[in-house]
Amino acid sequence: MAHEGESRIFRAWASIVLRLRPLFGLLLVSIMIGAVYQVSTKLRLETSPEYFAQGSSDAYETLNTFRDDFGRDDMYLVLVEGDVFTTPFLDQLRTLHEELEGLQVEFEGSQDEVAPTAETETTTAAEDDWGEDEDWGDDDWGEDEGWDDTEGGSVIEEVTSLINYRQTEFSGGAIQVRGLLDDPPAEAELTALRAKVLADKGMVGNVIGAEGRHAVLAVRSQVMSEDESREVQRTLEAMVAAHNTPGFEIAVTGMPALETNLSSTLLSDMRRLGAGAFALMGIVLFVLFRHPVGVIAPLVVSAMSIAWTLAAMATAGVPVTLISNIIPAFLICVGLGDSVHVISVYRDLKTEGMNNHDAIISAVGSTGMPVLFTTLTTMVGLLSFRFASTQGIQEMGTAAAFGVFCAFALSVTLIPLALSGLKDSAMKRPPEKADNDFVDKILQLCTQLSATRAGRIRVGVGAVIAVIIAAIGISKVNVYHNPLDWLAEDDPVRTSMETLDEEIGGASNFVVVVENDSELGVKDRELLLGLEALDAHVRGFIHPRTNQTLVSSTMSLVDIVKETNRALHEGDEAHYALPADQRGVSDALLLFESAGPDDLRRIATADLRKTHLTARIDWMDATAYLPLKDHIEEGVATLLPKGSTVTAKPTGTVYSLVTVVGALIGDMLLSFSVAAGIIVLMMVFLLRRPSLGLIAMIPNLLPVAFILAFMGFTNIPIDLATLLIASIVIGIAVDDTIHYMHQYRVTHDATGDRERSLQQALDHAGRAIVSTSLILSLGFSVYLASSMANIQRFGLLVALACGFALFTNLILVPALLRTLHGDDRATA
Amino acid sequence: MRLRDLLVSFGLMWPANALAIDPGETDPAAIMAAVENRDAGDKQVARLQITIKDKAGRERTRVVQSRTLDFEGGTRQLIIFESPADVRNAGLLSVDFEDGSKSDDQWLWLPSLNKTTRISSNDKSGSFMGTDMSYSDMTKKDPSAYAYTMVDANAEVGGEACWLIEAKPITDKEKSETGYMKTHMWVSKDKLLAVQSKAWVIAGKRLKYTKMTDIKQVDGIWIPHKLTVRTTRDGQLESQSILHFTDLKLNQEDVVEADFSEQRLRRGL
Repeated sequence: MAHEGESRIFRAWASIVLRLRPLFGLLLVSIMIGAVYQVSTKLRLETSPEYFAQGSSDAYETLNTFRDDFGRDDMYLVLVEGDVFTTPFLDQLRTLHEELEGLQVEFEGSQDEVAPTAETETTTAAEDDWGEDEDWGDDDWGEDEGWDDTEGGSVIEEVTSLINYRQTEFSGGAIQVRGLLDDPPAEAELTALRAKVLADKGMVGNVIGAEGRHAVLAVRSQVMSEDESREVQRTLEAMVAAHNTPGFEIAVTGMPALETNLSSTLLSDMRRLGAGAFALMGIVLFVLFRHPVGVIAPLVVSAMSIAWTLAAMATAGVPVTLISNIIPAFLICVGLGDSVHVISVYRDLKTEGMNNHDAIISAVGSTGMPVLFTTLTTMVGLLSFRFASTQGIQEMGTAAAFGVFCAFALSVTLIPLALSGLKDSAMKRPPEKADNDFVDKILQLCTQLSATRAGRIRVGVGAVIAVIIAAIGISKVNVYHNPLDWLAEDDPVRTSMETLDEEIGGASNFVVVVENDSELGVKDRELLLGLEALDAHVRGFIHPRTNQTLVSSTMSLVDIVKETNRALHEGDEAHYALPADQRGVSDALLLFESAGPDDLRRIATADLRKTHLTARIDWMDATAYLPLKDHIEEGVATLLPKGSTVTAKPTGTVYSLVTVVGALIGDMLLSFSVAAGIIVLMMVFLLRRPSLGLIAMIPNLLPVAFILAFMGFTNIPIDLATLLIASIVIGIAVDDTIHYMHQYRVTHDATGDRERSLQQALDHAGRAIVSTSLILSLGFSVYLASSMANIQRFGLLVALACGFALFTNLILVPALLRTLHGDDRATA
Repeated sequence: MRLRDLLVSFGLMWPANALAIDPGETDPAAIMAAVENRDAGDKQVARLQITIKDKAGRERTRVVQSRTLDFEGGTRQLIIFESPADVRNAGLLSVDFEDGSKSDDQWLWLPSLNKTTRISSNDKSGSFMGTDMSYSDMTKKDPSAYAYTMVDANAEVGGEACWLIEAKPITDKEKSETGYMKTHMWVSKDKLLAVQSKAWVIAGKRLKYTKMTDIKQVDGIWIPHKLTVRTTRDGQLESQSILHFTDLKLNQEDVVEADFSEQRLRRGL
């Protein structure tokens, strides 16, 4: 029989679980085994920022098309410090260059190549462009196993350094396209070589530092998965380590290295700190419940929710990203919150003298409905991410919503199972602490603050002051995404990226893809003149923040034509210019293609209708590139020939990052607004009174404002790591509010007595709210020990959010209810 | 002699009456030695259409006219561009030496400059005129630089009996010049032609598939008129080149020494 405020459905469910304990136990264990298998074998990690752009604007598509056409734009940069223009250095550089070209990495279970059968053509080639060749046949290669188990072959597409830097020159009465150091220079030639190299605008800032103390080997690998990238980087670092000697000091850097380092550090920190957080939460749970089941059961609920969710992601092929890596932390909040509410009420009921069986059923009966509603509101908040334009956010929302439901299902299933083995006397609150313990004192204090009219005024004035201060703080919040800042200051990749910026030029790049559909395509001299002007425009950019140039070097088809034209005029520098007429341009490119066609493939498509201008730029935070983006877009609009045949699109890693960060901020606002709107409606439905629903939103929104204000005052930026903090805060706050308001409403419906209802809400939900807040705050404080700034910030913000949500609920809700919600008993 | 050597190096130009190898032969080295030591004919004229496609299906086509003439120790070839229009009448004259230690010479006639320019290139693994073929694909192979293995003495291609032979470079020089880990060649027993091949490309772990089709006899010599090369990686097509010969004739008496001169280059088509 259901007691006051208990749900018949959840009582019935608890009874079934207790009756069929072995069946449910077996079911949970079986699902867990399957989940662990899926996670350990199929879960992927994806840290590239452009992943978030999938399905959004055409920035991602443009970047992918660019990579399809010209290969990866981001490269490993092997930075070597030493006296470059000496024979020992150059000899060692040559050896390293050759070894890097032959870098062999064996991937487990990848490289599944297939024969070029008709089926392959259908799936990989563009429509019917390949299928017209009736002579090819599809069965003549026998059992073609692709690359099969043949040893050798390199995953490296290209290595560019001083050794092979392209020289189109007139030498020995002939034009040749060759590497700068195809022939090792004699000792006597080194001075001249140094002068030549340091005067070359293409090489300085690209493969050599301006002082001649740093050389760079730019290593372009194939497009690979995160796991493969990690493997490549491990092999690459091992290879270069063997060459690392005094006078030839090497560091591996560049965007792929940064991404790999970020994901490795992220994984290791999350594992280490996740374990620490679990341990600390376990200690707090023990202090609260003084019983192993009270410790283990909530932690297992959280752990299983995480495992099931990750397994679902793995099964659906959804990777863990820089955003969705918060899911485990989020599910710890949710899982512990749900479980602690059930166990708290269970313990209270047992303390009141109820036997174990009845206490379980009654606890599930009375907490099941509010836990279900907290689940639904949180799920709605997360599913609102489906409105985001970016695929990464959409996936995160869906996965986390699934996880929240798992936490709910496990809380009303696993917790009863775990508690069922206890004796009637177990887990009661100690008699001496049955009343007025520390938690009770806090609860009473918070409630009494608004007990009088003067108190309510004080609370109101305090809230208004807090809101004003929060508004000031929010106005100071910056959008600033710089993953390099996440790493420790002495992190090798970070220090080498900084050295690279200072000594060579940036590790980032900005690309403009230009296409011309006219007969001449990119050979069109007018177009090349436009590109030349754009090149100068890009190089001349002065960043408003630093008042310095940002672009260290550029590369385009114009360079090739100019080099070739100079070579055609026997190296005369006066002819380092575009030829005077169209035929001259066509001839120069014909010559270049005859002498160095592989280089042409990197800069123009097969049909010579598409090319690109690539600028190497210094590393900055993503939003700092916005002025450059505007500058380049202005140049594209004004300097390239006007006409329907010419199109130009910016792309590259940096452009993708800038676009993604911009889109993500918009997504955050949209998702948060949708979530807040739907949560209001659900609150009204749950509390059955519009007034109560609206009142309930105030303590939900204030913690969000406080957290954003805290970020503004402490200079914590909104970036990929903190982007969803608002949604997490409202998720935490809503849970507290629902439990509190549910108890209040149940009692108020029965008695109409506001003060009694407030006391009842305090007694039943208050302790659980304080407990969960305390557990989560302490648990997330562990993340402050992370080696990565983004994880530290995230931990701090969540810990604070729990505190803010707790106090706005405990202080503001009673004040608001006393002010705005009528006392039916009194009015009657 | 670039274009003719291209056919030769794949074993494509064989006198029909010169099949000195028993179809039952199982020694791959003997078969490949025969491939490398054949009479390939001389004084060739042809019109060649070269089409390059990328994986997005974009393509570019050039049409050239070529003339080929042997000399003691090498081959001369003249190529005049017919299209596209913006390079029409540009010409390429090349002299290839059988002795691999000698650098091949190339002269390009560029109408805009009104002069010939000599081109020098040492990178044999580099692409031939932007196609999927490399210069080393078009160079006669030194059998002593390879280890040959008979993979299948009874292979078939399109119903035609073939030897499937693996050629693995055993010298670093050969490996570096070709850029291949190894090559599989399907050599027709009937025509003694390598009708197709598959090469394992070191850079980027690519595969290069080559197929000869439209094989017809010209003056009693089997000649494939179409050559298709596809480069793939991870099972994905990356690019394709098609060389289509038309009007191919051998033993043309009007192919004379004077054709391979700067004056002839200047004259154009």
